[in-house]
Amino acid sequence: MVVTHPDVPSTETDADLIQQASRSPERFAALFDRHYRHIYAYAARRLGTDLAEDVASETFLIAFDRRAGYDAGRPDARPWLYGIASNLIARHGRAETRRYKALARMRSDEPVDGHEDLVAGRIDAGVARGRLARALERLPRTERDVLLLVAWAGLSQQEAAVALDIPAGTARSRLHRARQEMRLALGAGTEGDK
Amino acid sequence: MDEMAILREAFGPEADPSESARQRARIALLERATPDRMQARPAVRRRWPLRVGLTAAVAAAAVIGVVTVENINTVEQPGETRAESRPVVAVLPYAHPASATEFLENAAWTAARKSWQTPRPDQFMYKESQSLRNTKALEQRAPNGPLVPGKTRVVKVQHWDRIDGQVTARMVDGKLVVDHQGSRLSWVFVPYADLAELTTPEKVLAWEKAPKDVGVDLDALLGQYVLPPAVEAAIFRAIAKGKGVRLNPDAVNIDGRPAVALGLTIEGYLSQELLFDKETYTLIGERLVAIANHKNVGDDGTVSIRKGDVFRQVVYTASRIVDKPGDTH
Repeated sequence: MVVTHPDVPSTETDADLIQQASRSPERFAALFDRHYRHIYAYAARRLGTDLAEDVASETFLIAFDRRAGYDAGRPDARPWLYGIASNLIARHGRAETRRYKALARMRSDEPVDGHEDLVAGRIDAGVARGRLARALERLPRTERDVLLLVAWAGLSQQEAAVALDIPAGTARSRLHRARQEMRLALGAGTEGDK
Repeated sequence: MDEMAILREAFGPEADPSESARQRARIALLERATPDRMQARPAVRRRWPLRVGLTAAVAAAAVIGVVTVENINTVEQPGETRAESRPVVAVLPYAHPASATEFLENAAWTAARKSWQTPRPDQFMYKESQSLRNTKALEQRAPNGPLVPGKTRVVKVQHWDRIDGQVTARMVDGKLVVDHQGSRLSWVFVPYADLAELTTPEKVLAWEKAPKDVGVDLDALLGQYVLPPAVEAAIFRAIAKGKGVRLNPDAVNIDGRPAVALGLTIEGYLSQELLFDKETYTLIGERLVAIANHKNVGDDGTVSIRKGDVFRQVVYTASRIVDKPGDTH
């Protein structure tokens, strides 16, 4: 876990901070400092940067309101936070679909949200992005959530299950199907991709 | 590389939030977590006019997606160290409100930050508006008909109502007409003290449901009273809690300026709308517009109403507390 705020000693777990926030609500800001950037980045990949601002901000407002219900036995709050963010992202289903459609249409050397330096000149990455975007657009949301929590948020399969409040077995089978779709998409012919 | 690694690589590196976005989100959280500390205290209150001015400017910036946050300086409270002091920031809860609820929260947030001094019972609420009306000839022929484009006039309406409800005044053909309760006229009114207590949406909704001498629509209160900022904000939030409020981001104001309308459907074919300034989230007027074709069958004939017909359109031009009837500032 990346600790980005000097005021938050690394020995304090997320659960400690949430517990402290029940007595001193401003301690919740330490949790924000730790995770905001990552929640924002995840939302930005799924929805673009404009909507990501609101999703990331609202994630922490909702988390704060629900802090009393947090399971203190879970030291790492990331699954909880990404679960809240996933629900908020689901409200923007159309925007997410539009985004994948646009990415699928985009030429391989066009930038993604200004990160042109990554993709420029990397035709392979561009082709892969187009195919994966098309596959993500078609993927059922429930499978997409598990897949992207693992691939983009960096959660384990078990953590993704906690985040989405689904049984571990369900997460496993959804992830399996989603990965299969991604492999199929990448294995498709290259004609017309450029 | 397996498909998961390609999925990570192909969509580029993680996007970093801008510093202004991070600040805005952090302060929204702190405001939720420590509302009392984020309220103006003496040291902050001196800067209040500056904050109010900036709210509008930042709201405008938020709409176009370039948010400026006043976080260059922090205001230090007496006895606080710099690390503990809070930045004075004009931030909106939603940079890109996508629903009526989010828009109303921005409006509430903005309203709650207006400067305010509790009025005395002998002071007056001054409300000034510009109402779009049909020509006099048309009004005589069809007093309840829709506005006819090209055949309208703008009527300036000025009202003064004393806080204690005992005096009312209005401008009629350039002359100030003042009436005292029980002399020539009598009227019922909502006690101002009752309204001043409605500082949360829950209180507003409970009050709305409670039996009263006067029938009251929440949106009409906003147009007829000069309310404390906390009450105005609570009313916006109460309206947001109601079902069926729709956001129309492409409404136009009386003079053609862009506005945002929040509408409630009534009688199935009319939309009662509050108009907001698109950039500052301030309430600027109201209108009643048909949202579907409709036939009104009455004893005196059948009236066909077409979708888009506008029945009332009012722009609020002034709303303030003054000392006596006739005062406008």
